[in-house]
Amino acid sequence: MVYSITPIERSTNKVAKGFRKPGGFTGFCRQGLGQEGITERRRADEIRALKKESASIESAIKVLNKHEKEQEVQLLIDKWKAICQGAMAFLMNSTLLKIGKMGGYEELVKKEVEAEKRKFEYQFSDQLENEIDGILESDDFKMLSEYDQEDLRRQMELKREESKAFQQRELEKLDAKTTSCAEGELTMEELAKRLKVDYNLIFGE
Amino acid sequence: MNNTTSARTTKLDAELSRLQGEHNELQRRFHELSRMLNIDSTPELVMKKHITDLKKYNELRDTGLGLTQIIANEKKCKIKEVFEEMGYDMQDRP
Repeated sequence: MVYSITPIERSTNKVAKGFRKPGGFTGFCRQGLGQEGITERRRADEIRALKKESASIESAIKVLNKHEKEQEVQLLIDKWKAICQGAMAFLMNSTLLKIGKMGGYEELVKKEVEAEKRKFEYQFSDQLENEIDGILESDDFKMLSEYDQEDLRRQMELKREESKAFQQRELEKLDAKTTSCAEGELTMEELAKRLKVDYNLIFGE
Repeated sequence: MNNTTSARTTKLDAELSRLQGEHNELQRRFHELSRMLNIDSTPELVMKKHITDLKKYNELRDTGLGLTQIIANEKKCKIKEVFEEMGYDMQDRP
């Protein structure tokens, strides 16, 4: 039988030049894992798999033995689904009334988008400007050479421009939100999203 | 060493045979119950449905309680009163 030389054997050959190799590490492993060893390992694997399968059947039997309990859970699912649907219908009506008072759904979204824009502009530009001011007024900055100061100013200007571009993109996204809902109405799906509940769980099959 | 391995393998063979017997019996019981309850499914699917249903019930209950709480806040009343108005019991009694 031809055995390929493993890295261990190769390194052994290099180090122990001139000495007789006593069987070799891999040779020992092959001897240890003979046909009997392989059979033993296979049996152990089969036992493990069989135990796992039996445990699964046993659990399923327990569930089937308490079949009434399963039916009860099904009834409770129906009950809470009906409660959720009823509550959603109530909240839909009250939200539509509020929206009507505000001047319609489009007006509501417009106001929300404006508020989001203000929040975004305030957070975003103020944070960056404060950061830049902090750097320019720091002692570390003043200690830099004229050349390094100019380089840092240029880097910050670049950052400012990148930030402006990002801000622009985000504001455009918000504008698109207003456009997409023009002449639209509040749907149950939209309400679910606003209330952070799973629409499909309540109204799905 | 081979003798020991051989003895171990024999022991494992006996264990495997015993487990196979138990496995067959469990399968027989499962099929019998399935037939009685008119369920055409596998043990894995029975377990999967059991877990999915429990998860669904818990999620729906949490959502339902959350939504009725919003209504109660809006109406400035107790959550129990919202349930009464809707004609449902807040507790899940068997």
